[in-house]
Amino acid sequence: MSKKIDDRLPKEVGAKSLPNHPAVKTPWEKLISFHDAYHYACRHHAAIGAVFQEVLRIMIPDYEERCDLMCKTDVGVKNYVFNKMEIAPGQLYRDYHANKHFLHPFFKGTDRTGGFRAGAFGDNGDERLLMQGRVNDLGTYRVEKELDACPWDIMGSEICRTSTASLEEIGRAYGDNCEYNMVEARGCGDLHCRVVCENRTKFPMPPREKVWDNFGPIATEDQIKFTPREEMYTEPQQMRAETGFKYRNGMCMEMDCDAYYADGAVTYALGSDYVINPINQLVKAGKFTQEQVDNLVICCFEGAGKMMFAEHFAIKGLHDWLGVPDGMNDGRVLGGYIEVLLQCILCNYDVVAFNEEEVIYDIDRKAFGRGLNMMTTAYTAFWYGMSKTLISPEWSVWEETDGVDESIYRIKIAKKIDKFCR
Amino acid sequence: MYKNVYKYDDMKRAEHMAVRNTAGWYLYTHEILEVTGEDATAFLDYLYANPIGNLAVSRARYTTMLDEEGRIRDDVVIFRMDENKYWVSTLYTRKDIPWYNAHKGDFKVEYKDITPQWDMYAVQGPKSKDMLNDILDTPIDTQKFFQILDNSIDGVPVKINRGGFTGEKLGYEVYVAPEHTQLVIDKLREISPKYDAKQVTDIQIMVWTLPTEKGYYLMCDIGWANPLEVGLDKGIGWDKEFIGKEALQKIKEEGPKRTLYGFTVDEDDIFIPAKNIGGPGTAVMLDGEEIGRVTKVTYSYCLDKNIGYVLVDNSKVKIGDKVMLHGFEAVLTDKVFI
Repeated sequence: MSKKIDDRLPKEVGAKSLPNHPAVKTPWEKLISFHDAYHYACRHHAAIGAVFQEVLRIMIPDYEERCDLMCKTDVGVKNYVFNKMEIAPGQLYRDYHANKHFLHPFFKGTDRTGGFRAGAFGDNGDERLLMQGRVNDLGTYRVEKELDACPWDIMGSEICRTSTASLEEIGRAYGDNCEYNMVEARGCGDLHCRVVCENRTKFPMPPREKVWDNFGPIATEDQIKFTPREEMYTEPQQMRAETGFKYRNGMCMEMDCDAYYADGAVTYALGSDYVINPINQLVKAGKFTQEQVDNLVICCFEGAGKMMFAEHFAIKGLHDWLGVPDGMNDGRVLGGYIEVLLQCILCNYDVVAFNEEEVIYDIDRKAFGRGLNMMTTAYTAFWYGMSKTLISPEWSVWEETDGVDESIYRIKIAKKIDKFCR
Repeated sequence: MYKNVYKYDDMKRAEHMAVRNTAGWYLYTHEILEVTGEDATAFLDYLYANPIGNLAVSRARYTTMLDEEGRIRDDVVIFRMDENKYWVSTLYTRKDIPWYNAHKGDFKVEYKDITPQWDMYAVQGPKSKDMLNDILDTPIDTQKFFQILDNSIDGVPVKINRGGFTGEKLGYEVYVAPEHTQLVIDKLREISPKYDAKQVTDIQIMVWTLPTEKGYYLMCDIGWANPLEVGLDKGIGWDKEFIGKEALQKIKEEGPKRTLYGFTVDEDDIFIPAKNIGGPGTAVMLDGEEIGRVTKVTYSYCLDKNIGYVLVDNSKVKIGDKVMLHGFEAVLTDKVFI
């Protein structure tokens, strides 16, 4: 008889992070573990980002043009955040961020180095978002990070290029001449994501002509360290016993699940951020109207919502996951799904109505969107589409605004006859 | 595959060997907590394992800070700048200040982070004293190890500490106000050719290769271990009260269960993830059983060999034994390699 007991997440991990520790609770008292809630939030946000990516693909069909816009937009955002943004008068976010990552004062390097520090930020961000892996090299002139997983891989290779350009711009805020390349990308079907940062003074290469052209080649390919599939991690450091259920970087910065949840990144649709900003740029430039964009968002998300339960096994799966009582098939099922999502992303809501005729939630609009516009437009359409296949076409989802305070995003799930389907 | 990131790198080798053979200099600013007040000495004596009260003014001491279970929270160098004024040189003020706050109690003491007020340049190696004598207004020939004294460069005030993190017999740290940091850089650059000295630019050299060759630790090696496990029991103030003493005495009576060893790997092109670049560190395997973890992997340019540290179950192995690290055979050694 084997006395081996496999690792399991201790109850202390994630304590106080969620409203009903150690889990999220469905309307039918079924508990969804902290582990599953964390994983769900990350994957869900990635999927939402993937739909926004489809919106942008319709708006800009050309791959290069699309990647160029995404990269340049995010470079602009990061340039502002890491060079100008203050968290208090005279206190730059850049310094706060470096301090948060335990980047020692002498890491600022010389006048020709320093850009490698973004590698440390990326490492922390990766583990936080369930993009677990390992740092294979961390030096002033070269950094190599290998990821074993990436929820964003379903968004496509555009996000791989954009997040790499983003890292490079962050690096540029701390030093000169570091170039970041994602030489393998799960979004392209590779086994790993692999980002290599090289200082071009030490490792010269022909200049990069296009901001999005950052998949290599690199100068130090022969220094790459490759982890085979059987040694890849399936959980991030903060969920592994061997690390004491904490992320720890080389400078001994430590973060556990609680800290990550409190930090907000798990609950924020960061992947969508990389797509919504360029969409906004297109509107600002007058290439599309907001009405055109909203129409695209609604079409894409409504379609995605309908596909969620186009297959009967998907309906059965959701009922099982939520613990829906046998025979129940009305707005409460979708309501239960929405409540779990809101709990997982730590968004406050009030249950205004929850019965077989109607379900109404008052959702904290600011917490739901976290500064990203179009999120309520997207989700209303998404849930509308879901209602059609999860419950029946008699059912609908819409936002009610009459008499509702602007700070509240009121969602109603009920039967509705609508001859024009909008 | 796995081409060694140190062995074939001439730039790293040159920076490392300059410190060993002539001199190397580099920005090595640490964080400084300035501790003052009539109870400053008693407060620090309570917080840190090694005695502070018997430090003479201008002298410094290395010590660990423990938690109640005797585990290392931080390791620091404490300078006695005046009777009731200390500098605590650390890399973890953000963890130390809350710890200070939690234990301040009735101690009449004040502390503040003065890191922004000082840049620090390490000047290390056999010719470091001669180099500094060339640029300092007052010669440092008689300055003792772990002694910090006022000096000046072209009239600009600096503080010179004899010490460092390279294990060199001659090594100094130049503390200068940031507004004058360029003066120090210019002076060091100007005289470097005369001494065949080099500016060390790579953190892998200043933080890993140089210190590890000489048996120096980082928090990735010793964090959350106890001082007896990692060989830092020397100098502990057993006759004073300090946080963690009770737990540490019990460990001393029972004997530490783990030991921090050095190791070498003969194979050049290795892939052994270690705690010094984050994560859990590779498992140390003996006959198929995990007996510990790799805390650090780096390279000895003097031995031309991969080196590092492991923290392992000391009932299973001893110096000279062979273990497997991610498929690479390693031989356990003392922590001091040269």
